[in-house]
Amino acid sequence: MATDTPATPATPDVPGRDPRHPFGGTTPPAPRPPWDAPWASYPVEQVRPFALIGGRTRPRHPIQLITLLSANNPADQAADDTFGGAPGNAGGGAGRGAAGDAGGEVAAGVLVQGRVPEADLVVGLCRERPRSLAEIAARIGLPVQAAKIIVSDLLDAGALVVPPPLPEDRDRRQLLEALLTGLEAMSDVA
Amino acid sequence: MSPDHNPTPGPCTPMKIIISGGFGVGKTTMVGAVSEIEPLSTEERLTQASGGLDPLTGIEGKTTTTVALDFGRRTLHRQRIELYLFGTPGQPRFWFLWEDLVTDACGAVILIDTRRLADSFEPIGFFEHRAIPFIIAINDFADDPHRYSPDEVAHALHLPAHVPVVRCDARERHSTARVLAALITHTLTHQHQHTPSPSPSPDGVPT
Ligand SMILES: Nc1nc2c(ncn2[C@@H]2O[C@H](COP(=O)(O)OP(=O)(O)OP(=O)(O)O)[C@@H](O)[C@H]2O)c(=O)[nH]1
Ligand SMILES: [Mg+2]
Repeated sequence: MATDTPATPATPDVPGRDPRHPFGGTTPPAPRPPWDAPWASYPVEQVRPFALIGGRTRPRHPIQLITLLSANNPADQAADDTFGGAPGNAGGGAGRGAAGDAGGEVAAGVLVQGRVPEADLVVGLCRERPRSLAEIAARIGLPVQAAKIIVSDLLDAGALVVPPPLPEDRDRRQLLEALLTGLEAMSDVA
Repeated sequence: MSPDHNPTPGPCTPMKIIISGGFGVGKTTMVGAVSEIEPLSTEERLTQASGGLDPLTGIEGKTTTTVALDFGRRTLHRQRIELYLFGTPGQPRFWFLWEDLVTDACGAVILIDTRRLADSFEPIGFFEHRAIPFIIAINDFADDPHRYSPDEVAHALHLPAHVPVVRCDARERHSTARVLAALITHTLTHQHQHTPSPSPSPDGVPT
């Protein structure tokens, strides 16, 4: 048989990438460019929250996957006041747990009129620590686009806030250098 | 103390790195190697008219595909940075589902298995086209009979000369951290005047 192959061919035995192909395709040509592909009908109408929130698909806030969100003033009752913390309001009643626990729930309740229970979940998550939109979506089990709208509404309602940028206001390069320092520390086998 | 609670309260700046590469190449493993939480996953569904009638129903067919994005996070307390690693499916044509997935990314690691090099062509082309800094990381699988050198891989992939090719064990935290450090070094060297893209509008979003 003449099919012997050297133990280690000079280059991997796959067709090489053609860098002139705009999207790194092979020959025959790769599929059409990604942004041209026929995957166009995102089935938002099948996603429950979109129906629940009146079919809106665009949030009002520019929230990105890694935008961090915090619950607003988890330690005080400010949110209660904002949402009419008078005795007898919906969130201030029997269901209240620990002190200070009610602000987000009231906000979320007012916000989506109890139709999107995930809203309360989101506020709870963001009270524990700042959470990114991506993490929120994953933990409440909804697509990012749906989570984004809930988060956007919670921002409008004052139940969530985007923490302000760091005081020292590092520029992009400084951030990358700091990241590198952190990664180098992590890669030291110590 | 639970690692999920930020022990030094105070704001962190979020940053992100993309981990891409073909099916089963170790993306999720790599995300998990440095993440302080179990890797999380967020799924999107999309439908495609499959063109033609379903022979059973006589109704025009539709295919629904679920595409998952997994990610982990790592808080660098001293640096006040929260690093996100996004493990993307290997087909860039799906990435529009997470509109800003690559926007302002610090760069991308393209993981490869030298037995299935072609799986990396699409992501390489994507990042090259977008001028997003990337490096190639060869995930060393013990059972790989071929041990190609980084040079051989660079040659087969027709990489521009400045693109680093490194080896790693994606299961290993130190090894993965070294890969990420190599990426950021590369970004700092080759992304001189990075200006954030003026338009947040991603490619591929249907209009
Ligand atoms: N020997 C070895 N096995 C690995 C390594 N990295 C990952 N694996 C294994 O390879 C398999 C695939 O790894 P994943 O991390 O799930 O790969 P992936 O790229 O996320 O896969 P998909 O998301 O399905 O495309 C798992 O069984 C891993 O345990 C490695 O460095 N060496
Ligand atoms: Mg995976």
